[in-house]
Amino acid sequence: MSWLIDPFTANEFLRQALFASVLVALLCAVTGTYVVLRGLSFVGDALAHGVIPGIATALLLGVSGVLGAAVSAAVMMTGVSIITRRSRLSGDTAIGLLFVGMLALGVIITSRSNTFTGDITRILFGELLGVRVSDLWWQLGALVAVGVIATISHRPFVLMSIDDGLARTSGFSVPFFHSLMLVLVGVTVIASFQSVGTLLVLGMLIAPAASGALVARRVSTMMLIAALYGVCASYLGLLASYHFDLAAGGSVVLTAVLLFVVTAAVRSIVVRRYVDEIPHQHEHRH
Amino acid sequence: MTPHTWPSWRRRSIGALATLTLAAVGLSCADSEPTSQPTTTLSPPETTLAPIVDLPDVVVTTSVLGAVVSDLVDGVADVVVIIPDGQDPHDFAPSARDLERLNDAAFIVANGLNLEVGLDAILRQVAERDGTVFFVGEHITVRTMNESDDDHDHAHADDDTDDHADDHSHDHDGIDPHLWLSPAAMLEMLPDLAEALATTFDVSLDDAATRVSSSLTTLDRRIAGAVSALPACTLVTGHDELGYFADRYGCTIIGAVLPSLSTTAEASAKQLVALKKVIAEHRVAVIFTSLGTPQAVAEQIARETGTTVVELSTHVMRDAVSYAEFMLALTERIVDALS
Repeated sequence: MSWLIDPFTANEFLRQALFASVLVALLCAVTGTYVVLRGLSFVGDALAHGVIPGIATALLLGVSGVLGAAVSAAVMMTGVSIITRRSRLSGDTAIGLLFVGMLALGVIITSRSNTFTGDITRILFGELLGVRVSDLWWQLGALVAVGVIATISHRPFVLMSIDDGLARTSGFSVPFFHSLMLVLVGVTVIASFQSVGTLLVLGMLIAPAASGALVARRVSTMMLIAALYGVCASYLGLLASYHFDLAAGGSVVLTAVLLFVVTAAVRSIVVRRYVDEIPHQHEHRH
Repeated sequence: MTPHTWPSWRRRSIGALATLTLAAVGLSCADSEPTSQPTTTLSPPETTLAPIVDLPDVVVTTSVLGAVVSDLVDGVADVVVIIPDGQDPHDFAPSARDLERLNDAAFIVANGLNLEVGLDAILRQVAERDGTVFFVGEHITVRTMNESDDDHDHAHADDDTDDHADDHSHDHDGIDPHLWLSPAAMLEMLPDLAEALATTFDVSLDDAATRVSSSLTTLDRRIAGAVSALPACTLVTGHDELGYFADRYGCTIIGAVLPSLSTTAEASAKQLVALKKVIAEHRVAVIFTSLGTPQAVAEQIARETGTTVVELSTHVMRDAVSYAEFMLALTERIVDALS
């Protein structure tokens, strides 16, 4: 059994990577569940990529990448809401426009600067094996913030994930809570990109939450399952990176996606059996 | 003392016209001052006025090769560098203007060996069309890396420093493109380059070639002298970049933060554990990083192994104004860190 634990006890960098990855998993479990239920994957994707120019600029100016990412995310979210309000274009189109715009800006900044000391690979894939203790504190802070917002706004969020009208008739302002949900996504992306990168954070946001949505009906159960899946993916992914010599961030996210595939496959088998049994029940009743 | 032979490769920050003027000024200053005598102190640029001559362009992909080439084509051609100094050549993407420059160039010098991945397609196209591309990699003894046969990636690197090329192994095999890190490799390709340039521009470069050759030989000796003064030259690097240097000067590379010939890779936990083991076994005190090294990962490993991180300038000229100065600065930094 030592091969399951020893890599982590012997190596501080792996321990810190595990902590970081678990924090990302918990953050993403909360936010990701709303993202999956409300169909915000595209916004999540757009935000995850839209922060690249901000991070690149921040690195150029020598300030924290988190700050740059926050500014970028704010610009994106404001842009999306302005375009959707002022034109007849759908939210989808607005998001797409800003997404590609920001991404293109990011590519230009990282490619043309003579002094660019950061590396686009590090922004996209993160440095999970180089996580600092200060990064962990940031992530913990973000987790607490997201947890508090989610607890307070749980009811409107759940109602909105069923139907906006339902939330409205219950007296909740849909635009406000929608924006609040986007803020959650933004905070999650910003807190996670340093460890798993902007490209892979989306995987952690969606894959465990999708698994949760697949097997549970209650939103809180979904979140719990998502958290469990995310933590498992973190641990198994890092273990795979250690034993099979794989890129760390990539193998964590791939594990999360594989767990979803396995869950979906098992579920479809179980559901088929269940459906098979239904006629029998009918016979018994009559 | 310090010659300013080739400010033209910094053209991106200056306008095209200004560059032309600067290049002319720089070249005229350099006429009397070969770059064979590098100094560590930089004097302010001299402002001697010189007639603006419209010289043809030699387009060079990287700034370090640009420095070598500009030593050779003094007064014959201007050197234009495509990949801005400070950018990682491993993941550089050209702009439309870069493509135009490459298409219009009378002569192109490229590193080759898959270094400039982003320029590969255009270079091949130009080479097929009229053959003015000089791939340095085709004119030197290419260094290859062997695939490791077991799981202990760098563990069986022996401590004998004489025999280096093959006794360390990495998990990524392939052709090593970092040829500019050995003046010997530059010496090797020099006659071919001089001949090709002389043919293209229809001039004699014999004198220039002799001068550059002797300055490279001096440089080679100086580096060898500096490195041989070390009790042992055992290196842990950012990615696998110092192979040519190590082979030439009797150093042993026992590991890398990113054991890959390119920087576009992500570290794996297994590699890092192997690296920690090797660092402990060989009592290494320094991890050398450079452009494209995952800095946070290097620092974490340094913290765990009680080593220090020293940044090297292996892909960029930074403050160096000549190839010799670039190589000596690199050597000095390595020697200082190891002694």
